[in-house]
Amino acid sequence: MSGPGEVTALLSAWREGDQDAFEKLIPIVYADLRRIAARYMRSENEGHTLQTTALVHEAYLRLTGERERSWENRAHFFGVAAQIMRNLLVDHARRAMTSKRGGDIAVQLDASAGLTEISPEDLLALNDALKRLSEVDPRASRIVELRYFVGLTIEEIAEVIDASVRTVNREWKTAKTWLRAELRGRKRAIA
Amino acid sequence: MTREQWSRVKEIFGDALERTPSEREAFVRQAAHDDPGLLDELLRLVKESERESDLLSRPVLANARAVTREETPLFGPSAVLARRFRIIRFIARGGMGEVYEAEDEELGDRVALKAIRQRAGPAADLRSLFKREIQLARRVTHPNVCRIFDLAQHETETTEEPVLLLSMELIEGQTLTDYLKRNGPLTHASALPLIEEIAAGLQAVHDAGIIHGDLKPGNVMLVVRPGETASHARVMDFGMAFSAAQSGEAAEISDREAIAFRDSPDAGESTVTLGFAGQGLVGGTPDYLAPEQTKRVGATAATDVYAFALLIGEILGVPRAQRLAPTGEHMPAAWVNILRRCLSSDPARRYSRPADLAQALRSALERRSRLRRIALVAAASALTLLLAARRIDTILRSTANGLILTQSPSEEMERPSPDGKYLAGTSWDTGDLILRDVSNGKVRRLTHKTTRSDSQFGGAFSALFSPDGRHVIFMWAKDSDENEIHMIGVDGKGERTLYRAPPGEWPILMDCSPDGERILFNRDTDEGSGGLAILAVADGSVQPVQGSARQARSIFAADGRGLLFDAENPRTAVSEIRQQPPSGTESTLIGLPGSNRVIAWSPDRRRLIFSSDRRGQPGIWAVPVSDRGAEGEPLELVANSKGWEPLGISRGGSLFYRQDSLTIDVYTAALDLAAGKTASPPRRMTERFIGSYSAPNWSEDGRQLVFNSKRELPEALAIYDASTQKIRYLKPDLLGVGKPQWVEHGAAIMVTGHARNGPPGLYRVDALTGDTRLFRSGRDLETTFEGVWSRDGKFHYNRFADWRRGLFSLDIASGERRILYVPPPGFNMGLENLALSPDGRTLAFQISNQTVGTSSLMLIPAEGGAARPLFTIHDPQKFLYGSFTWTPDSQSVLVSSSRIVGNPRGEERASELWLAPVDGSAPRKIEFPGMGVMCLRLNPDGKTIAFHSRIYKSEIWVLEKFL
Repeated sequence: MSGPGEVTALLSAWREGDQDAFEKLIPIVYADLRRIAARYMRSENEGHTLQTTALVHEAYLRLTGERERSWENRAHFFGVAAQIMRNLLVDHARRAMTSKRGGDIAVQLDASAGLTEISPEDLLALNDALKRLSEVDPRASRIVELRYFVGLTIEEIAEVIDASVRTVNREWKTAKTWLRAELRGRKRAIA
Repeated sequence: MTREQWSRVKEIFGDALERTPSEREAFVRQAAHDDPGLLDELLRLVKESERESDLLSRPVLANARAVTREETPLFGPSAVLARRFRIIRFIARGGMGEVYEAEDEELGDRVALKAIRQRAGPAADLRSLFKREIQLARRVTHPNVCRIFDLAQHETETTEEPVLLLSMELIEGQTLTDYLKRNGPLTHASALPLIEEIAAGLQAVHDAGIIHGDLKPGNVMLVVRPGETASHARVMDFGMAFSAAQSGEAAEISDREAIAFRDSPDAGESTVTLGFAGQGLVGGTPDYLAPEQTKRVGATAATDVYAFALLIGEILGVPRAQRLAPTGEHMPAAWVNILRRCLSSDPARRYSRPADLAQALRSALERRSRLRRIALVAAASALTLLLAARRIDTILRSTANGLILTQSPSEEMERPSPDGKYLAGTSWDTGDLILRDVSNGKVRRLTHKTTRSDSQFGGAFSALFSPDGRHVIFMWAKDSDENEIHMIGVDGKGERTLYRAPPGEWPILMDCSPDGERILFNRDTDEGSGGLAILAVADGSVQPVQGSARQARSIFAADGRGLLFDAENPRTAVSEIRQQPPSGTESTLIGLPGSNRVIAWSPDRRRLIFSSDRRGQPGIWAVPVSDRGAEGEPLELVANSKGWEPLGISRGGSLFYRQDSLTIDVYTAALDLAAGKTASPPRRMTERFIGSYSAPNWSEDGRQLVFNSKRELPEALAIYDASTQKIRYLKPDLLGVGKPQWVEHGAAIMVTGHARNGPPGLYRVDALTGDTRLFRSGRDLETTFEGVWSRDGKFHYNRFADWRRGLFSLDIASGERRILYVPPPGFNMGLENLALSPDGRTLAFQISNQTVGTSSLMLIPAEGGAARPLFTIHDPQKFLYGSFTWTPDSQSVLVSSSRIVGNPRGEERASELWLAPVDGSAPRKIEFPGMGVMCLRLNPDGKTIAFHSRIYKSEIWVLEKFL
């Protein structure tokens, strides 16, 4: 597994416009988040909250270098983790859309790395729709983030946000349908 | 959109989603008919839900693919495949292919046929890849394994590639997956037999040289055998995933994607093959893949053990997210570490054999009784002696003999410190090593080891002071089977591990050499003593002592080099004290007269203090010992030390000893069963005496109660008359009178016993004269248990001496015997305490499974028929103790459930009374003072109960300057 140095280097390289750095960064971040998530879930059950908090803190530092955060609970962590993923992907999509190759959707995220099946265009649209959703229903938006960007299962999400599996399932399905409808409507409007 | 609008959308659409798609539109039209804006939004969503969309269908980065599944079965009924298998019906579709029921026309038998479609790949002949596995697999015949018969290949026009056919034993049953879906998770008690069966099956597979590679609930069939109710496990589909992976059928998935895939909720239980280009292949099911399976390292037996541990978690209902690190929430604490060990990412850390894992789970449950046994080793003789006679303490010389401590049930003191100021022992509450200050009784914990997983079974035992009194050496018993010897300062500092015992060994500490350099310990194992060994404190090296396999108590010789130990003289069968010099042969140091056992050296190590019954009763003696052996006559220091358990001698020459007393008394109380209350509290009805475990019994008219009295020697029958409240005694001429019950309408009492010149069996004692004669010998009855009689005396109900053979009824006139009930496998305590309902129709008895800690009160018609449980205790801390009694109307059974608290030698102080109606309605708890109740019997008046209660006391005394 890559060390903090590598992540930092990749982050800065990517900020400076190195597309390859992003391709390398995403799997690391994602694998790391999943790994931490798994450990987090486990450790929490043992009641070693302090240790876990330290672990998460360390992970966040590794990933972003950001220091000024409070770390109260797992929901917070996963929320942040989901945001990291979301931001990384959205930023990348934005760059792809406005790259010098000009507007065309030539650079698809999954084309080279085989990572995602969503086009930059859809990802940005999804990001916008998700923003609108969060204004009326922050919890539903968070469920989508946790499900889609961190890949937690419905059961795991239920645990993280302290809601019943049924509720999470219902909200996830509703939000998913709404987001799909939003994106479909947007496409139709463009066409 | 506002929050309010959205929340209405969410609510109505959420409800709509819980309906079938065709109902949704009508539903939202109805729900939002008064709000056109809302309705439009809802209709838009309903429409969207009917459309196909990939968006958000899986996590953004988890794009691993499962092997695609066929939609319709490849073959229809009556199709004949490979000119041999005639399809009867399609059964199911698995990750690797389809399963059919088929007729094997060659064998003339029904088989399960697995059809695996071959895909394009580098290997043209799939069959050759499977071949090796099949050849091995065919050899596995085990009751917990689904048999594999044959491999064939079917050419077809409709599929481009040949279809591989695998014929297997056809099993009627359900998969464990389906079972768990329907019935929910199992308790650890009910899961253990199943786990053991799966382990046995998997072990058989491994023993045949095959790695299963795809163990999961879907590959375990549960089968109910004819005439049984319990399910049995059969392991299927072993070796297949591995072979499949070799077929080149794999999807190209990278390491990290495999992990992502495993985490995806859709992956579930379907078998996939994962490929690593040019680097070998693995197959399996994402949820059950061991780390090495995704890391391009070959699968081993440990890989199956990993999957097995996950499967156990699933059986016990551990949520998926926690399965890699289970907690005590879903299983006994002692199991947590065992499973976690198997889930280690390092295969070498796991158990290498499935059978070992199952064994570890079982032993963990037996651990508690095991620790108790250790504590009992030394005390057992004291208890036996106590039960045999009243004790008279005579101290020969005028010394101060004082009680210094009545032990609380939650502690076990083992040794005095050399200065006599402290006692070291174990806290049963936490398992920690404790020191008790003799002068003020204060307790100090030296260790603070207890973590949640350790507290239940582990602990510090067998404490021993170093000769300078500055350290305590103890055995640290862990949850796992690995115990250690530790040393810690009396200030609680500087703890270190001196020795790690191999799994299964219990190093019981015996003595420390005078220079404090070496520790003598006994390697106790489940099979008995593994012999003595000497541990060097400085470097932790261990030297076994040759030929010492049977020694119980042992100390270093005066010079600290040789050894002294108790050993049974093979010629006389009496215990003597033997000496073993560092080199040379062992010899008797103190032998006849009497039985002699070593206690300790005097502080100057010139005199050996030992116990001996050379004067007819146990006493404490001293004899000077030099290099040449015992010198002069032993001197008696304590004339009667019956029941004393010496703990040690302080430097100042004081003997510390423990004295345990156990009394069992008979009580009566009155209950108001209708109100569920105690009408008059328990009253001890006799003088204090040493009672027995034989239940008392009321006469038919309820006026007399008969019970055993061990106060009288030889044992007597005590008959209590309720109207006069007096007790009279009958002394049958028997050795060991037990389990009295009234027969012949009060004219006689039937007891178990053993006449001086007769066989053990059932004896009839005349209730007036005490005249005793043999009724049936135990040999004739094939049991020496008391059994019960029908009221007319025509039938006798009993259980065989070997309880596994079950329960029978005996027609006295014809001598015909009928088997009524045979306990199911796994029940290891057998049948206890048979009770016939007053109407003579129903027998109540107890079966229990001590290992998993359940006991059940069962009912069975006296004429024979199906048995059913009436009252079951699932708590391993509680037990029935054979303590139940019918109400006079035969409609209910009064049951007492008891719990042993704290000290393993057991002051049983918390019992509950329950009234369990035979119609199956819920048992009702009777308010009753929380004292220990055993041998419960209800008087025919339906109110008065008689029962035994026992009180256990453990005291530590010091005999000062007794030398």
